[in-house]
Amino acid sequence: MNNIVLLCDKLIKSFGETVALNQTKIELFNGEILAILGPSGCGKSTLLRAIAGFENIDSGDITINGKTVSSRDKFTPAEKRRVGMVFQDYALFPHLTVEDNVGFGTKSSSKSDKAALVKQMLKLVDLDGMEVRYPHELSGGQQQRVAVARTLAANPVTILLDEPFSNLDATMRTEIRNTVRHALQGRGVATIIVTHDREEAFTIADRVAVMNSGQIEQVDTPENMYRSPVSKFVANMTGTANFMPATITSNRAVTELGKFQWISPTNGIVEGDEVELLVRPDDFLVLPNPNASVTVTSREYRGDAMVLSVELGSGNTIQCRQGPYSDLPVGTSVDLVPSRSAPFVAF
Amino acid sequence: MIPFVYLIVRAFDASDLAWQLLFRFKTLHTLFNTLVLTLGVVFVSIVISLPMAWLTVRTDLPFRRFWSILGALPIVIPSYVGAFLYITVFGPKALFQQLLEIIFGIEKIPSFYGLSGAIIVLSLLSYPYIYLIVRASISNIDSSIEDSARSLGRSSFKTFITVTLPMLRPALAAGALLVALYVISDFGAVSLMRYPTFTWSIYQQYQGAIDRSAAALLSILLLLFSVVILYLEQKSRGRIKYHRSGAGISKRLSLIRLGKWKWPAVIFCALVISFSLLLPGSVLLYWLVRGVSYGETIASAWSSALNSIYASGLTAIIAGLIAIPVAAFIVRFPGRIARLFESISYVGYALPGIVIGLSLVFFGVRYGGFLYQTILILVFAYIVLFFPVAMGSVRSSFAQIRPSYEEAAKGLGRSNIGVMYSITLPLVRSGVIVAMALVFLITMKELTATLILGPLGFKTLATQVWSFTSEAFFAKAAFPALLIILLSSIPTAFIMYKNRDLRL
Repeated sequence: MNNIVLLCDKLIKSFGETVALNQTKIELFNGEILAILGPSGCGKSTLLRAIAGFENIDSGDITINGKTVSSRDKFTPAEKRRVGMVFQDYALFPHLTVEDNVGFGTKSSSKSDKAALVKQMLKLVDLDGMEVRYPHELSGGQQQRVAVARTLAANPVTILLDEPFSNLDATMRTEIRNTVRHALQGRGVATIIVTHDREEAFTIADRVAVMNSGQIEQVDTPENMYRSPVSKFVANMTGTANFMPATITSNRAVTELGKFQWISPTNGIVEGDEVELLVRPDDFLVLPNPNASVTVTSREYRGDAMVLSVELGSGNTIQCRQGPYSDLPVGTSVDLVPSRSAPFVAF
Repeated sequence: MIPFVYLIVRAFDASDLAWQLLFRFKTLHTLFNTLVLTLGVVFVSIVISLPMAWLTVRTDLPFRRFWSILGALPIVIPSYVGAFLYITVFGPKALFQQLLEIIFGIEKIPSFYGLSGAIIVLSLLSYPYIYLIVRASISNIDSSIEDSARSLGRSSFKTFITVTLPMLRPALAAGALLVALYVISDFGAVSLMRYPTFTWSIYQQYQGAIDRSAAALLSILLLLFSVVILYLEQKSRGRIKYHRSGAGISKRLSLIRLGKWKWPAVIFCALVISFSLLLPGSVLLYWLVRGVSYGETIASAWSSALNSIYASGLTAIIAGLIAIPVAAFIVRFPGRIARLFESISYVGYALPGIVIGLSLVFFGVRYGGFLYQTILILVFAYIVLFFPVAMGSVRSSFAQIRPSYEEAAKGLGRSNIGVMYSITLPLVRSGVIVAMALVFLITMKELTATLILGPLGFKTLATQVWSFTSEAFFAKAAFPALLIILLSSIPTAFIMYKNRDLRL
């Protein structure tokens, strides 16, 4: 089951001075959805274009189903790779109907086979009955799903989606994301989704890879990614991250809020080190205490939560998410009570 | 509008003789001639311009910029100048044959006159219209669309055929429309090439026959012909919209590697350029040098040049200024009246110079009185002819001003007039200037209306070139021809610099 469909090994690609891919390594397993999460300019789109065959690489290997498609002296053209690409702007052919767009990449010889396949794909993405429309007669969400159906209909080995939901408005996004996810899982095609949106990556993917300056920093399930990031960069990419200075003594990290258990994902920390602990917004409860040295400096009400910024005695600020009924005004002196049982991650 | 009504009135009280003339076999034959010539030129122009445009925009053709600029330049050569230059090379007993005779002893080459010669000459002169429009359209295609087709399994050649080409269809149709209208309204080249088309036979009727209503009848037929072409182009657009469907950022186009096709592509471009530009250019220089060495005076050309500049400049300024309020009205108050205005100016596109020239002559002779035989009526004809061109440019720059700009200025306390001066006019200014440059350029080259309506003794560069070439004084024609080309190059360069889509 766990066959590797796609393997990128030690990819290097530079455009003049800028290095877009720097020893990039990615494994994609049969049937999984992998999200590549990174800020704009981190090289994630270049990686996608290199896999699809629109960009040459300087060195390294890209292997699809055991066959090398890109290396320093080998380059299989895009049309021979069976890699389906869904573009950010959908790239629907404006002169073809929905039906003809979806049927564009199908191989089946008979007309009725093809029509049946197109129908099946459109049903998969909830677009039955739209066959004879033109792309400009569809909404953004519908265009997006036509693009996915078109790619699926070509029966690719793997599918790449480039920021697929970024052009949709927030209210439709969740619904369309679910439809697309079901369609992809229903076909069991190994998929890579490139995005800069954490929520998107976490909700749609089985595994997430965080990319920074052309390198993959960490690949893991969304849960592990959030709970034990390997670097401050990954911690920031995967959610709100505050850092609190601490000193390591035997088995404990000493901070101004007390002593806490700690772990280090990289195992590079020894006793006596000055470190920083990752504090997520849910790690502390905020309770009023007139004698405390911590004060509330600002409030951000989000409807389903109240996010308080609190200033510690040392001047450091951390964010704490409380329930929507938390009514502490700015300037209140508070105590921070740890609500986390797991050890804190130290860097 | 009045001149047209008059043209129709005049046509209706035409004598029986004129009606008979209209339904003669010869008229049908002329119609057929015009049709064949138009189709031929459109076809050859597409064959030349489509590969040129694609090679210069999308591939790693060596010296890409060089070819892309040279490819557009023949647009400044007026058809009657181009035709005389080609004739002096390929015509009977002309340079090319003399050369063959010296080298191979060949004394007779196939005649250059007639249909095939006219198709070649007009195609080489008018292909830049398609070339420029198709270029703009190719560079607007989002590369992700072509990439999609590739990743769905189509080779780059098949991608071009099944995806790129269909997307270029509206550009090709618009370019073909311009070329078709160019051909049917052309008078200079076809008469030099001795190929009788509608425009040519109208002129013959007008010059030769006593009964001028026959010319009026033929003019109406020609007008109908143009309107049909216009209608077909409109209809071909259909329901499909060609703008990009998504809202993403368009990426830079990656150039297609030509590989082993690189040198054949260069040879293709070189061939096109040598026939469309190098050959006429060097022949023009040849006649110029010969003219000077025979002691031809170039002094007479200066006064015609001044006349040309005066008439074209006046037309350009007036047309540009009138276009401002009209365009503002059409863009800001869309409705039935605006649409009516728009379609009237659209018909203007299809209006051959000879038709407007004739209708103004008829009108002027009877009612114009003091206006007839003045430069004013000529300028009026130019404006009627080329106002649509000015409108096109001014209108699109109005359409680009978002109403919110003006609303924002009002919100900041400006009055209506203040908004106009501080926001609207500065934003449309470059569109107006481009419009004036375009009108200047086209008026400079205009021949038919000038021949018919120009006051006695009023010579422009165009009419001067024409009268010399039609009498085969090529050496005398060379200098005014060169002046036209130089004078129209300036606004052309300016337009291409200003217009982002046309920039080479």
